[in-house]
Amino acid sequence: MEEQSQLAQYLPVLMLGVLAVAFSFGMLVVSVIVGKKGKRSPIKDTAYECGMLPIGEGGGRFSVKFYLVAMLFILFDIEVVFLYPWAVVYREMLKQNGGLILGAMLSFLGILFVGYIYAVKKRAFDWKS
Amino acid sequence: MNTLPWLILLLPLGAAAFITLFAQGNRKLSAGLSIAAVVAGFVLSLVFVSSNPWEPARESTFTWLAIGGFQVDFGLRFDALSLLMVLVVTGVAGVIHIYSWGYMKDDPGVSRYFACLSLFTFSMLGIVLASNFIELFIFWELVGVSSYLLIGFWFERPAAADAGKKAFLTNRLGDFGFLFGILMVWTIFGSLNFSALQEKLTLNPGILGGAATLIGLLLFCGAVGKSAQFPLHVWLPDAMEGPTPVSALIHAATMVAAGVYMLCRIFFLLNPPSLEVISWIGGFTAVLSAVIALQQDDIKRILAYSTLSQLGYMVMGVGLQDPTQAMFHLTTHAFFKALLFLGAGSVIIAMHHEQDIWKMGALRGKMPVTFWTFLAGTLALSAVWPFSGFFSKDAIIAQALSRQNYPLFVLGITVAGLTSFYMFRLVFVVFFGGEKSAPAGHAQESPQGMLWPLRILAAFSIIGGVIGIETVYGLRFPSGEAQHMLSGWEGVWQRLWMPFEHSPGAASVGLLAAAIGFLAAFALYWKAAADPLPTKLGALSRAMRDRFYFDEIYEALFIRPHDFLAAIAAWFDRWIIAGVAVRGTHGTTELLGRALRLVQTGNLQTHAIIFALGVAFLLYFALR
Amino acid sequence: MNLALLSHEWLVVALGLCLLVADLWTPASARRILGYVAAAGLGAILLYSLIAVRPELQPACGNMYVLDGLALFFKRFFLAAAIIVLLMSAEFFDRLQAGIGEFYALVLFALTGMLFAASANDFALLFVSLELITVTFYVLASFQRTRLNSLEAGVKYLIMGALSTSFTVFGIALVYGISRKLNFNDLAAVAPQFGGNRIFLFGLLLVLVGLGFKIAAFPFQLWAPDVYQGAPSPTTAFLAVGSKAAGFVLLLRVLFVAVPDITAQWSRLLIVISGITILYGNLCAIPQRNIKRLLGYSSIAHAGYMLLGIAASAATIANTTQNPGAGAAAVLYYLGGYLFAVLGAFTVICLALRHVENEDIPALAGLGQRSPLLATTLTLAMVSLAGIPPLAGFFGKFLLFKAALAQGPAHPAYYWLVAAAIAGVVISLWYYFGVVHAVYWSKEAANLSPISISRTMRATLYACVAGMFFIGLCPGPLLDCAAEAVKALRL
Repeated sequence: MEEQSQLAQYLPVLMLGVLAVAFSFGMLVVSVIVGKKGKRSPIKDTAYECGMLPIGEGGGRFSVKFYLVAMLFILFDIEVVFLYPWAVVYREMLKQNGGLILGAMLSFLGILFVGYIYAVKKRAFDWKS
Repeated sequence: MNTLPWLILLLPLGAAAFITLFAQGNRKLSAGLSIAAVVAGFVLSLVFVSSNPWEPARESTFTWLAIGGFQVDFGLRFDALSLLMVLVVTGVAGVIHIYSWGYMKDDPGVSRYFACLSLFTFSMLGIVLASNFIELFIFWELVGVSSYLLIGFWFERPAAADAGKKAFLTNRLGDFGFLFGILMVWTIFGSLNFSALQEKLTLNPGILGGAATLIGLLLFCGAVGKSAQFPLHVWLPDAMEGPTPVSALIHAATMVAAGVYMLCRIFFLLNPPSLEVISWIGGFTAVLSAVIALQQDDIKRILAYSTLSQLGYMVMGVGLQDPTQAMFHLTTHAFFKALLFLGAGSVIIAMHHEQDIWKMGALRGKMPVTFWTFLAGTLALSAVWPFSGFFSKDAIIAQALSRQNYPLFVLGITVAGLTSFYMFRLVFVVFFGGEKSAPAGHAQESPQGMLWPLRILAAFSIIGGVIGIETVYGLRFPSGEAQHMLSGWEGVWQRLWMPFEHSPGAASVGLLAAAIGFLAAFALYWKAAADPLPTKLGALSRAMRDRFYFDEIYEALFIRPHDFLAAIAAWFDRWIIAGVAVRGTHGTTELLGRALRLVQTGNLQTHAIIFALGVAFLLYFALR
Repeated sequence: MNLALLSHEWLVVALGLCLLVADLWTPASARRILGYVAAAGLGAILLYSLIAVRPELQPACGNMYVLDGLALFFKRFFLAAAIIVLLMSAEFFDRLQAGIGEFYALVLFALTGMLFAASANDFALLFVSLELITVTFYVLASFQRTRLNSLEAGVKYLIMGALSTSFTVFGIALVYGISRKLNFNDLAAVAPQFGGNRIFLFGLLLVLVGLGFKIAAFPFQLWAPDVYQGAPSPTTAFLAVGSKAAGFVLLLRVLFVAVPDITAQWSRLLIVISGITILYGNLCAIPQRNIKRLLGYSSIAHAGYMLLGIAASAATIANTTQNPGAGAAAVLYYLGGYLFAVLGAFTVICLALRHVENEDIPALAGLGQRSPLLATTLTLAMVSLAGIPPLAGFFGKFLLFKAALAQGPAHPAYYWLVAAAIAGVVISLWYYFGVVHAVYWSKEAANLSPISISRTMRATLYACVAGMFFIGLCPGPLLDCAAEAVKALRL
């Protein structure tokens, strides 16, 4: 059966998963069994035994601009990532229809360039405003 | 495909659409467009006629839609009958359009008026050019609609609105029979194209069998409604509530003639028994309306009843198996009746919308052009030689004589006498004698824009009988005797004397009747200040004045029982149909609708779950 | 590779980008003009398409893309729809808080997706074009950022859309996994041998789920009323016409090009879905008060009618009949009539709603006096949607029912389907005429001040009315085009 043979290929992955779960749980269990139990007191149970007392929230506040810039970064980053395989995969084919391949990528870059201009004009990179 | 006739047909429609959509506020543009469309139509039809032969019949058809084996064609038919009618319709309509601009100039609804007029012209041309029954019927109804719109043009007057409704409903009665006739033709022949029908009938004369008479009479029903024949004649006099040019165009010259035209178009379908009925209905309508016309006082109503009576002649002509002469009379009548109505319009305007002839008088000197043209029309209508009406009317009476149908012959002669009497009564009272009211004293001649149409129509009313109209129609119906005529001036000369050579008896008796009518009118109405007849005739005069109580009889016979039936039907409709049947279904559906709405909660999670359930349902259903 | 075949798409993308850039340097007051520029540009492209482009037999992009009669028919359809939608949005301009330029550009990008969908001959292109349409519509639906309804519509469409997309992509993966084919032509060659393979069928059905979502067929129709109601009117109009038609062209391609042999077994499934969709849409429309929501339900019903044509075509694959393309051609014809009726109705809504307090049907009272043109157009659109002669809707329904009845002798189920559809038509008369009644005869009219309409909107309304009449009165030309277009299908 073809379907079964396909699934069989994933057996190592399954084994890896099982192993990972077993290992992490095993370590916890072993540390509880083997570890020496110390004396407990409220002071000892605080996060730090020295310095300031923990008060307030964990996360600091970010400017909303950060998210915008982060998103744009990812967008243009993906573009660069896309360029690598393009450069590698089509090297062989460049001899026959190089113009076409170059044209395709140029139009892709062109569209992104319009996006860049748009972002600049909309002052998405302008941190202060 | 020949584009010219399509252009002729569609120009008025284009004008109507453009006016309605874009030129509502612009009076001059609306009028100009409408007039230009119909005048261009007339010129184009002249071009078409001069460059194409009258006969044989041709068609310009395109397939409107074809699905599988089902095909509907839309086509125009050209033969002597339709082409000459196109000329008449565009010509007369053109003249009346021009006249209308003078007549309606100050009316606030002038754009609407011209849009309706153009729509009417389009529909009328459609009837004339139709190549099959479906098309004919569509345009037939369109003509009815535009006529309704124009009769009720001054819809703020209740009388006009009622008249429009009455005309429409009465016509519907006739159309009902007409539609039945068409359906029967279709079941028997399987085709509705006129040429195909005629071909099939020639190949297989017995195909109609026992249904022949029924079909003939059902189709005649349409003509009875549209051409206002007894017993559906009651709408036409009321239709005079519309503007006078409309009366001239629709209710005298063209639309009412459509019934006669249709009878000629389908003449090959009519068998002798149905023709017998047709001729008698025509003759009876002619004499009945002529008698009623004797005692009317409203100038337009007199003309309306005379129209009825002339239509009776035409229908009688068809019934006497002589469509050529019926069409001939239709054409000359179109000229002189349009002329008379436009003349009456001119008088009415001068009298500040007074229509009672007993308030006019002595207008001859003040309105010379109107008077002389009106007189020409009167002479033509009274069939005085050598005016056009004489030739066409005489031909029908002569036909009655030659078929030895003496009762109809006597009827025809009587009507000729009566016509002459009531028309000269009208002329004497309106144009001669003393001024019977103050407005008659300071009446003024109408502007030139209204007078030129009168002059043109007067010219045709005079010469219409000798220019060879019947010869052209004769090409279509070769059984008539009119086709062996000379052309040119010799032909005119020949036609001038033909009635006396061909049927001297009919011609001379007809003239004699007209003379008697004239003398009687002269004796009674020359300088009369009030109508002397009521005192002499008493109750009969009152009956004539009241149109022999047809409206009242119809009221009692049909409308009352109809109202009663309607009340029962309304009760049934309200309590049984609406209450039980509709409310029931309504309630059930609405309940279902409301129940289903509960599914649509608007809650996104629910939607997603239902979506997933739907997928499961789909998979189960397809893969099970 | 023949990139010249993609001329429509190139041109529209270029137009969209130019618009986006031009918007940056255009002062806010003049931005409305950009909409007219975009509409004019699309008009030029449509003209170019009508004059210069003929169906090509050769596919492009490695068989992914075809430019056959069907593709061309739908491309022109989408272009026409987008032109009217852009004109409508230019009118809608002042109701958007910001970003009207982006709105135009997004309409053009959605249009690009539709143009690609019309030509998709491969599951990959199907998915990409579908996503391009759907993702753009997420933004278009929630464009009125300050209106809660609009945001709600956007979010609902996003989540339901994502759900359906996940089904689609899963289905494509399964189909590919079993058959190793993505291309429709290749798939058609091998599909018969997988006719009994449950996983393959499972995958195909999941693809149909995605397309059923697009056309709002039962049971994937729940999003439609909410989104139709909440989204800005031009978006709703484009959603109702463009997005739905895109779903239908893909459905036709998948069912009748990729897997015709399997479709032949599914005629019963299609009958059931079509019948329920018709009844559901029409029944739910009855209690509606909001006019846009009403049209949402009515669009569900119309999807049902068109599925009826597809169901009729499905039966012709198995048994050869005289006119196998009748059902599919009727769908195309129906879409043509639907285009003008729906866009006419939404143009009226777009224009009228700014003059009335809310979107409820009773608020339209007195429209007959306030603007005869709007009232007439709305009435004609309703009458056409209801399917009353001589307007386009009547003849479309007539053709659909005729195609289904032709299959009746072989499968009596088609008789039941047509009976259900006729019941649906009767029910629909009710709510369509409810709108007409409100427009003309409602006594509740509070405000009777006349509504003035700009010249472009006037022209748009005239065009819609003319379209409804032309298609209804002269069905010949469109019907010929449709019959020519469906020759691309394996029927």
